[in-house]
Amino acid sequence: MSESEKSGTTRLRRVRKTRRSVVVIDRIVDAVIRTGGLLVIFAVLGICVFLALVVLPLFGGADLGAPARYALPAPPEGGSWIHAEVNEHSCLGLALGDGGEVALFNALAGGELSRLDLIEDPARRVVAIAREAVGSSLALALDDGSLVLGTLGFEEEFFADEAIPAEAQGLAAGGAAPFRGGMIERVTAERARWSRLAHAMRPPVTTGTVSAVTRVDYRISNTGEVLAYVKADGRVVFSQVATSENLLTGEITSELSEHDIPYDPAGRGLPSALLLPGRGDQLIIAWGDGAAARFDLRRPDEAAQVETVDLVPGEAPLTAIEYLIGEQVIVAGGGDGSVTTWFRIENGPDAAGPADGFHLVPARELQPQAAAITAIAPSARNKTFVTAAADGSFWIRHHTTARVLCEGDAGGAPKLLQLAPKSNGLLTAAADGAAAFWPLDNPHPETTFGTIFRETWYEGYPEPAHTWQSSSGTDDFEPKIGLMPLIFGTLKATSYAMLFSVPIALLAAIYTSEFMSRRMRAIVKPKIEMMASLPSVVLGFLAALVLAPWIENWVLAILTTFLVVPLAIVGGAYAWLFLPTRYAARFDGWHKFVAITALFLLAVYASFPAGALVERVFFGGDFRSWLAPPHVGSGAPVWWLILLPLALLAVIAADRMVLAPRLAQRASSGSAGGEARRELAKGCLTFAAAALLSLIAAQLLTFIGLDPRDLFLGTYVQRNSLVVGFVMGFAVIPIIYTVTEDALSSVPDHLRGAALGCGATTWQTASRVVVPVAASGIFSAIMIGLGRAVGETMIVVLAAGNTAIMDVNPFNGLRSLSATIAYELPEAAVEGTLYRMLFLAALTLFLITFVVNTLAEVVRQRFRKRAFEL
Amino acid sequence: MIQLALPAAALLAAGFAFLPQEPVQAQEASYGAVKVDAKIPKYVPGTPVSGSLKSIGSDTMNNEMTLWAEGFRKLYPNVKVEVEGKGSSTAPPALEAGTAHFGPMSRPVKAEEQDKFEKKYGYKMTEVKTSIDVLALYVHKDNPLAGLSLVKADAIFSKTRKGGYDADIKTWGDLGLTGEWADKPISLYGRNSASGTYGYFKEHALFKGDFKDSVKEQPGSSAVVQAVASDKYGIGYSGIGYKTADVRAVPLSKTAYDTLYEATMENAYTNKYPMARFLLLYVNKEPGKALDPLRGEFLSYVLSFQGQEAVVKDGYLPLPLNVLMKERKNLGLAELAVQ
Repeated sequence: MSESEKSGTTRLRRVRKTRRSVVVIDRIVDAVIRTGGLLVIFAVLGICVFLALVVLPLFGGADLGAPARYALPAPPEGGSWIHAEVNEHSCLGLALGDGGEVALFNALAGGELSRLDLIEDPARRVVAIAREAVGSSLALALDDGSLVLGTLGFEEEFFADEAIPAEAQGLAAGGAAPFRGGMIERVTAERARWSRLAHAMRPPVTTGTVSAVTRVDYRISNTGEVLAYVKADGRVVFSQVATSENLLTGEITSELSEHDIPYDPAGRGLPSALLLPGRGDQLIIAWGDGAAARFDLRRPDEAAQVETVDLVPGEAPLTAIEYLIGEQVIVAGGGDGSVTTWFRIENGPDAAGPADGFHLVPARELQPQAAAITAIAPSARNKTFVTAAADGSFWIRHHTTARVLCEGDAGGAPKLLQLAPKSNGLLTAAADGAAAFWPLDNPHPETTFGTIFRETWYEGYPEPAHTWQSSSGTDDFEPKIGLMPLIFGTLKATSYAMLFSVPIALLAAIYTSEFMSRRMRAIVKPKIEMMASLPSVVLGFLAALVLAPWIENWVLAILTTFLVVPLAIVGGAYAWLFLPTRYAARFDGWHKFVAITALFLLAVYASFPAGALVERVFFGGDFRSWLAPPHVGSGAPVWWLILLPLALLAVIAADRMVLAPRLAQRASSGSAGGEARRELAKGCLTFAAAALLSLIAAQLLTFIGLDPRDLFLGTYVQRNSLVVGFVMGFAVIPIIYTVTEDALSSVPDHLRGAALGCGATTWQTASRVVVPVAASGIFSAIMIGLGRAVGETMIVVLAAGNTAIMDVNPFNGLRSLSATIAYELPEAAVEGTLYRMLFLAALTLFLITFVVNTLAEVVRQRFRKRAFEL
Repeated sequence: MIQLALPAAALLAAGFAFLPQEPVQAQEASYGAVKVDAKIPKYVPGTPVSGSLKSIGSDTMNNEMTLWAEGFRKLYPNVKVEVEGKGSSTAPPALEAGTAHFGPMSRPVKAEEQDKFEKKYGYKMTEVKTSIDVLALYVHKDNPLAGLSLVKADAIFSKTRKGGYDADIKTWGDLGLTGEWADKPISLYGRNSASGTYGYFKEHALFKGDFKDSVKEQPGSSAVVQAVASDKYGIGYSGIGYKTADVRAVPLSKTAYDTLYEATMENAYTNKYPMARFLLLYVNKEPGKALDPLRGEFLSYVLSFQGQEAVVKDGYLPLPLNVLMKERKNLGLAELAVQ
């Protein structure tokens, strides 16, 4: 409401009424805006809730369903079952007897389907068995010292439409029935699947002497077969068949080698367990008392024992031992119910250790069960495993998270224990043949709050770490889903971008708004705003392909620019003072602008030789080598550069408080030229004092042993945070600039007029009147820029190297939340763990922006209140 | 600048792979006289087919898919083919969701991925071998490195060193290079985790270990090669089809005690080069039923003399006759007249 209207109402009675249509429109608009606003709030809340709903299942446990109980087929006379498992559809079961007989049974309801013998000689007994969790390799050791090797598994055949056999005709979709010695399932109305046994066992091979094999381990990998066994006479033998196929001829060449492993039983007798990874590069033998010896088999001829460890803590005996999928993690179950996991890590650079450079470490001591561990069954899909104890309890655990996913009770002590191939069920069987199949729902075993946000000790890692390596091309990969490196990367990219863009954008805005002529402003401002129209993907690939290699070559010149340009501008300002007043006034317009631009360009040009000079004098001629370990030379030059601005501020403050009041009296007299000379001398002195101060501080820091290369600098890599900072800074400068400029321009002119009228200079007016009044707007500008930088994706994807490291070093890369989402969402199976993790990343991003914006709004409101009080 | 333009466009396309990609110009076959076995049957167009085909998956096979699509469209102008290559891991979810007809992959599918597909359809995806790739380790063309064993490659790229090399390899000097190379840190480039090449390299060169966090992940195969070309101290892995004149493929050996083998055709076929692999196409094929004519004809084209010629044109190796015929039989494709 303006003044004239107000004064009008004092004299006349108001006769005009608001028209009805205006009132109606007002109401409608009011309602529309209200609804719109509410909808926006609901939409934002809705997104948040949706993200949370997708994320929530990550933190759930596993569910064990009601078991199907039945009896295993009757074992052959005088024998017993030594192994049982189900096929991947969990409908067909297999039991292996100690006479080499295999019985197939209905795994859903029980009932024998068929039976066959794997060993021809009925007199032989199986004394040891090796069966991989993944794949179908099987080794049976017989009591005459021979071995039967081969594969045993399941195969399937489909029937469609009319071809569906009569046995399956009556089945509903999802139903199953016995069929020709196997099981047939009605997968859908028009399709049936027949699962049956597939086996290819080779004739028995002798092992040199008649003494029986007591323990065996056998694995088939893509490079061949590996086999290790213990004989009753104490020999331990490792044997390897390396196979390679010629693709043109289909010819398969194989190479067999056999090696005796020299070991020292140390009075413990025969080993009770053997663990041989599929690569055949090491062998672990364990004794009943928990002692285990590891052998280096990388050159089998020179196989040697490299270390011994005690797998079970305390005095308890070792009662069960198994590799988890991937053959890295050893799970050892003790007679006291303890469950300990071990893996091999490298010795570290200086630490002494086993000769092969690695040693076994107890990675986790898991929650113990009440009775001795009798069996361990690993999953073929992930790092889940089951441990069964003598009291009949079985616990489903996960190695990475170290948690117990769920517990079950088999009634009696389960003699046989096997997780279904798809890890979606569990078969337990007691010695008396009572079996149960437990359906298992275990969608996200690898995620807990701890594995996501805290340091986790992954297999083979020297120590617990925050790591993001979410997926790979194999099933035995242990997903590493620590979000911290991504959060760190996001904040790192944002801070470097803000460090670069905020000073430039703010100063540019102050300059355009307060110092530039109106005409120039009308030209300059739209040009800078045009910078915002460049798509970030274009900026990203320019950064990656053009800027990154260029900055790599000129890094020191570019860093020197940040010193040379401000010095040149300040120097230029002093020089301007020497200009006689009449010229200074006449050239104040575009001439001055052109002069500043020319000076700027000249300074940038001069930075290159200056950078080369700095590099030669302080960094031994090669800055990048100086950065990389081993650290040669001193860290003082970097300290000096970093401390210089602080020292300058300190000197200026000291000058204000101590020197300036005394000099003020003398300054009042004298000519303009004399004034300029004095100012110049003062400026030079200030700089020299600051340089000296920071030099002393830098030497001091170096003297007490602080080197920036140990603290925040490090090896230079081409795609780095500096590049991202520059380019992302470039992307946010126009936003911060334009909002700041608007805020400054909207400061009422009467405030400026008053300040100038009191004799303040333009700079004093700008810095002490205009900027404080516009502070809330400037703060919003910075926060909008920050918001843009936090969510920025394409520049980071293309230019940051996407290395998920937690390191403040500006010369190496980063991986941000947004880039990871863009990068990995296409590969994430819907509702899988990675999919939900990416939603968690999105939720985290959402929360970061939410917190930042809320804080910003609070601060802004305070500024605004202050501005209104003026 | 011209030299920059093509990789830049490829990088852009790979980074912005949310959009279906335009066919990328095939590169010259980068090595010697690779010939398709003349006994491989020629494709003869059958009954005209029409419709649209979509492929989502491997970036390594992107150009290959595009070349097959172009050749196929010459015979059947009414067929539209869209090719999208963001990485092998994007193929199984796309096939499962039914958004793609073909899922090109440069690594075999994981059991877990098959599980998800099988849960929905009741049967597994069908694998088709289409060609052979020699996964190469690239260094800058000026790099004097003579060769590497996989165990050393593991020590360069992996933080877990499951290959069992004694020490971490950080600088070129650690690999025995002298002079200006001796103190230069090795700059590592690799692919993103969606890539089958990433998975394959991890399985075979890293012995299933973990990549160092300092491996710079690039959004596409050509981006890796381009990065190594512009970073003198760089090393990166990618399919042989993306080789350019600015990089050199390092000869490899399995262990430190074995002979080094160049990334050539003979060494790949005889399996002496340690990182030769099949490039695969996955399809949703109902067991016991023939493929529909459109997809059937396309696969028949891929597994024909012309299709294999496109493989050679893209710089990969064609299938040996016996493998190709086996694949045709597995798919139940109509017989083509053997020459």
